Amino acid sequence: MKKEQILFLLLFFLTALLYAQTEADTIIYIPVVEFDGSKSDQIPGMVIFKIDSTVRLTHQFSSVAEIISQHTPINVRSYGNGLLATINARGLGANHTSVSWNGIPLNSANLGLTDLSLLPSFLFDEIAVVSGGTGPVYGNNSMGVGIELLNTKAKNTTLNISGMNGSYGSVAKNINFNYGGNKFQSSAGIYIYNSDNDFTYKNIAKPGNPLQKQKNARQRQIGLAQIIHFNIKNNNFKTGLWYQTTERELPALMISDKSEELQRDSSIRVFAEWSKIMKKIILSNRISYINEFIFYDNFKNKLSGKSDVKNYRDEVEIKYFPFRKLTLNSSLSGDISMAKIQEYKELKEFSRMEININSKYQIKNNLFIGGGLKKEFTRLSKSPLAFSVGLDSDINERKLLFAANFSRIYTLPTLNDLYWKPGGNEDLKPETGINAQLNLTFNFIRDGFLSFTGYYNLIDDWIQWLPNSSGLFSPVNIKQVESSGLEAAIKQNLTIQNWKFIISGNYSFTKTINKSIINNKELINKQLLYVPLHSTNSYILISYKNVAIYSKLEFTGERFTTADNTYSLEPYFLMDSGTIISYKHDIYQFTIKPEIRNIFDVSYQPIPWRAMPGRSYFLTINLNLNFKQN
Amino acid sequence: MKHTLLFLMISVILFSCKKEKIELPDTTLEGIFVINEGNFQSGNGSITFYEPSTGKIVDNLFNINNSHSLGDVALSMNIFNGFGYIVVNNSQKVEVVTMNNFKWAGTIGNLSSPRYFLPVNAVKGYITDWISNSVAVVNLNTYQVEKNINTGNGPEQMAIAGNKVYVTNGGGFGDDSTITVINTFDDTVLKTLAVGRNPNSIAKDKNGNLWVICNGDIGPDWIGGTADDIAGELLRINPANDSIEARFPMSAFDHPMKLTINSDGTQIYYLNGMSGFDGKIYAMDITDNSLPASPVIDKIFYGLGIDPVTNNILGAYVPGFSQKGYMFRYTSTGNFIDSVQVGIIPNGFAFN
Repeated sequence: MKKEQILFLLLFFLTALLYAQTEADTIIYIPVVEFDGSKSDQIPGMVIFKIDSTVRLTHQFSSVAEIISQHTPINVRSYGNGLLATINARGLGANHTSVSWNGIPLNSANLGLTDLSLLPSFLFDEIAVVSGGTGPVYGNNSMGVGIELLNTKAKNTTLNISGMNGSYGSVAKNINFNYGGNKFQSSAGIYIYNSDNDFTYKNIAKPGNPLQKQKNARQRQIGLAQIIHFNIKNNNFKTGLWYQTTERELPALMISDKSEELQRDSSIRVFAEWSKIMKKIILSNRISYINEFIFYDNFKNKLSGKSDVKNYRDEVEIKYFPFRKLTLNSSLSGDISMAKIQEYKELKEFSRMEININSKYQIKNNLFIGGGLKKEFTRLSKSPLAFSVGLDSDINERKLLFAANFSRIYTLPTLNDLYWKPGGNEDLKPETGINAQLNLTFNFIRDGFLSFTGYYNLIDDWIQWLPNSSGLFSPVNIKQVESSGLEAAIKQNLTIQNWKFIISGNYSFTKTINKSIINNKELINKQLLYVPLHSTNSYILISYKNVAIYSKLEFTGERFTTADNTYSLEPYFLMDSGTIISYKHDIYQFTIKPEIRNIFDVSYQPIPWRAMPGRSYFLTINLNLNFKQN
Repeated sequence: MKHTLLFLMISVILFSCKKEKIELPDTTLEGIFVINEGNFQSGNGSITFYEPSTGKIVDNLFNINNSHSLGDVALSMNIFNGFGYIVVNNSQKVEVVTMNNFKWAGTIGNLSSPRYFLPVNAVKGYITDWISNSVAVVNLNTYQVEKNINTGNGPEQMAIAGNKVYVTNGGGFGDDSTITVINTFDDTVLKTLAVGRNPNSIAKDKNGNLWVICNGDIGPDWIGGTADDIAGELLRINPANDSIEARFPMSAFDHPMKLTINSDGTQIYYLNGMSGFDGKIYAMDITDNSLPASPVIDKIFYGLGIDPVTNNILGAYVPGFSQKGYMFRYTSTGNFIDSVQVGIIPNGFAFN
């Protein structure tokens, strides 16, 4: 495979360069616009990927998981079509990447992770992936990457009705009403999704490799969300409500005969934020409540389980600009999680307080230095002082940008790690480590960039569930993990009269290995499970007037399925293609989007024995009424 | 267009590299078959073949010779009349292969949680089904389960003596202290014998007596070596009258398992330790009047076997649950010979 991989990389870059004739947009660095809950710009040296609007057009009903997987260098691990999808950024664990929604952390206290397959992308106006020393900014679960999901003020008054029909009984509908007034803005939507998910696949685990229909795979989702912004005498208010319930049957693995498992995830998330912009100070307070309820049922083995976790949180943030070139951000937050989980035997409460100070100083025109500190206080584990220092610099008049960041990071054990019975271990220490990152970005002549990010993480006291002396699985601080790698990204936009071309691509090389491990020398220097050494994706869109065609290509390299790297899963390529045709008349805009996914009908397994759909077809239609232009 | 071209070029490169297959000769495989459990829900159970005469090792024997996967938690294998019966617990099946090239011959399904297979006669076999507390009666021509016989909790290993099959009731999710005796003529329960706590393995010696290992109980705290433990025991049953002729209680905290016997039926071996699932290797002559004071091999193993040809002692060693394990070989007196890397979580051996 080695030679092929190198060849592939060469090809990737050559093609990328071919398209790199002209140039750039400002995807990498977001300037401070207004107070919108984003924290991505608080410390210099971060690399920020914002998913752009043309990409969003091709992903109307996709989950956040699919978008991140197809358009950023970040790896998403999917456990089946529409099933659990976790971020495994830079080869680290699912609980090492934080996901926040309008500034509110979404990672659950019990699992430490966010299931990205449950987050419909159309709910968010902005999706950004921030990497670097994000620990002091996003907190506990951020070991190097943070995902920001943001809702911004509605600009126009619009009614948007969308529907999708597709293979294996997939139906989705979404109605969204935006009101964009001067002092009051609202976005409200309701959505449903249904899929039988009974695609046909070749079962390579069964004798004769029969074509088989996926059974017990039905998925249903219903949700509603509303974001309101309003302003009273220079006081800005923002409120959010998001309710969603998803019921998923969990199909059997290819190797098993049948499954009667079902999982229902219900969540309600509400927040209210007040902010006031004064001369040198922006003050804000954000209060939130999240309740996540998971019900699991296994009829076959007569097992069922419930988990009910509530989180109350309040955060006060002060942005202070003592003089023009210095920005100080400080925040104080307190939250309490109450977990009612059968296996904990009793209600468990987990409370903490966090203090955070970040600063950024502009030395000259395009040279910023800064840093951040964070201290978390909990009754359970002692968490270390997290810090991050960085710099953003411009080497050659915005043609070549340089960013560097160094940070100390940590993740606390999850409530499951601590309290799950049997097995939970209350003596666990937090996972701690360091993170260093360097980024070089070349901005092309116009509308394009090429960016390279190298990183290094070293994490001590990595937690893993292992059988103890009685064969019972229990979490232990077992090893030191080193993760190093390179992420390359390229993007080029080109407009020639009525023609528009967009090409972008990402490549990541991820080496995440056991640096040392207690009592198991054979696993030293071995790549962690399911982390591909190489992965790439690319995206091309060509449009002429009101018609566009696009293709997305994704390559995932070999993934080891055993800790000693003796068995692995084959690499795979996936390609999706589609067309967008829109028609605009007066206040109406009608869009129709046929799409083919997995065009080459590739049979692949992201995770062993999880069947995935072959070629499938989707048709999305969208009617947008724009009542008033602001 | 360039994009499509690129894709095609890459595809050609990737799909043109195929893994080489090991072709096995079309002769009977003679040697040691190591049963590797694999991980729960991971479909990576395997059989490793080791040919002592040549030292040849074939990893993943089932998967490389067949178009489908063995599944996971391969628990045991029994070779009978030129066929191998591989019990795959979590995949709820027994895979049957021919012993000359390990080609798939059939699958026995309709099982909930199969543990061990025992051939009763040329056309009938018994399979213990752990979760449904029963023994499945299987027609070896059609591979159909024809009947289920109720047993105690969590049936494990079986042994046959005359027209009686003795099923050790290992306790399952709870506990049990009995052996179910089945009449092989009509597949009905003849009687239930009271033995020690949680019997899990059984073997017949040269005199026709049955030796039974009872694991004991690590108690509700799930931790071996603590006050709530009930120690295991070894006992001998005379199948002529089903009486317990000898009892050998283990020391406090001892939880023995995986009883096996040499081909002469004169020397018994078992694993013993505090964990309840692994232990050091102990050996005892069937004429001994007391338990061995010290292990014959002072190393903790997960599985045990005695090579019928050489009487070598084989230990299955698990260094970690997500990596390949080893087969350690010792002479019958306990001198180390060599170790060979095998599949994931090796737990036992079959010989042909």
